[in-house]
Amino acid sequence: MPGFIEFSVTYLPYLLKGALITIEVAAVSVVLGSILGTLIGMGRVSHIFVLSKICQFYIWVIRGTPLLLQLFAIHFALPTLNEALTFPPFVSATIALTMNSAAYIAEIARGAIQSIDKGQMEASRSLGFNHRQSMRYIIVPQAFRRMLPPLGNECIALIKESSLVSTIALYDLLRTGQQIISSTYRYIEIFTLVGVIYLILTSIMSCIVGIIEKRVSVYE
Amino acid sequence: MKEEKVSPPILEFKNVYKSYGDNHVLKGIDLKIKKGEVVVLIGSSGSGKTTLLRCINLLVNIDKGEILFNNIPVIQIEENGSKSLLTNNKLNEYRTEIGFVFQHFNLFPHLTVNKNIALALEKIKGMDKKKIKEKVKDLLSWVGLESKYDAYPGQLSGGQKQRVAIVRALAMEPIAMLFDEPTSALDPETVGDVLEVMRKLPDDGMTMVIATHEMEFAREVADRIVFMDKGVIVEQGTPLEILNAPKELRTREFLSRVLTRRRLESS
Ligand SMILES: Nc1ncnc2c1ncn2[C@@H]1O[C@H](COP(=O)(O)OP(=O)(O)O)[C@@H](O)[C@H]1O
Ligand SMILES: [Mg+2]
Repeated sequence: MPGFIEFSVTYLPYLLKGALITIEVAAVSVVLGSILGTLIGMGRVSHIFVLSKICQFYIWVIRGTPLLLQLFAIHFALPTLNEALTFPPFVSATIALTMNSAAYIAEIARGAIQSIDKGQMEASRSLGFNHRQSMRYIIVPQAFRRMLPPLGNECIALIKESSLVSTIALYDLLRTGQQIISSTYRYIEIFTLVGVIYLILTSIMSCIVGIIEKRVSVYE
Repeated sequence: MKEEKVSPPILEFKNVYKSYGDNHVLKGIDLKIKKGEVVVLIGSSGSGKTTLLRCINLLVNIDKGEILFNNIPVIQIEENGSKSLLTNNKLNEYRTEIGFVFQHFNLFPHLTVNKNIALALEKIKGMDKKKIKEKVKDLLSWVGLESKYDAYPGQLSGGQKQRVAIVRALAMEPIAMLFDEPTSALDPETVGDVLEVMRKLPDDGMTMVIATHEMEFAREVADRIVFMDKGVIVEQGTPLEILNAPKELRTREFLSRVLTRRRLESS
């Protein structure tokens, strides 16, 4: 590959800018998705039947349909319903990824809540805490610690899946790469660079997950 | 022998039934516990001791009968199925009056020892932080664990955990304390520390209901021993009556089983 180094030096800044968009979309989505997902997960284990069923339905629909379809639905279909629902690509991408990851995180949250020993709720209730306080002070904080490792894995998946947003004209890492290719036709170099950057991002995330796992296991 | 206590019952079971499916766990329990009384429940595993204790603070709802606290029904289920139960607020308030010590401690692993004890004082009793700190330190030094103030439960031995669990319940200043086999999950060498703490409680007039297999401890602290078998109270009386001169065959059989096991273990 002649001139790979110079070529890289020329185009790397553009790719890094794209990578930044990828990181932003993934980070915002995982944070919002964690909050939304935890709430949906709590709703899923709620004693309120209707709430539990609604949450179950949401999880079923989102996990049973392709993310790409959800992305198109938000970016292309919503505006045809109502003009006001026209979003810039970044916003559509964030909404779609948030809603999507929330469904997966809800299942993570449900598993984590259900994994907490029944004795914890009993001890809490026996002290006089009501159900809500018990969830808030005792169950959810413990469940959240157990959620962290799978949440990290969800974050890694999200970094990769966020490449789908390139289809709605958001200049993330992949789309930026394609754009450079369209003027240089250097497929191999660009796809190699793009791949390496994704790998670096996901590896950093894996390291963070590993560190969190170690710290969380201390008190268990 | 302890002096006879004459106060009215603080806890009362009236013809209480409970089953899990086809498994009839409590079959018509009648029991009165007086203020300041120490009642020890004995009986083989599966006889319903844990269920009886859980019924008291309504971790388990009974199927039929009545449970009264200070002469007020906390749960009342009639033959025809009509039922009355404390409202949620009253229920939570009632539970603060009853301390529960679990076989497996059930400390909150994500909170320090201090927070385990302080949380309910802060969130339920709304006590002032400085007062809480003093109180927690006093209680911890009372059980010889002042050095564990900032430790996490995972860093404690079983005996230490159970002492923290006892303190956590006591901190709410309950009127009665329930113990469900508090030493069964402990290494033999730490059992003594926990029993020592429990021995100190009746001196302050604490009402206690204790399920245990520690017969010597029962003999020493109990005002009354209640022997249960297959969901019924077979026999009850003073330690002397039950342990030395049991009237019922089932009681004698149970005691000889327990004592044989003890002898085998210590030989
Ligand atoms: N939550 C439950 N669900 C079903 N069966 C139970 C439950 N709790 C207790 N039991 C049954 O009730 C019976 C009495 O148990 P328990 O009260 O724990 O007795 P003990 O404490 O004397 O060993 C046992 O047969 C046990 O299997
Ligand atoms: Mg038991």
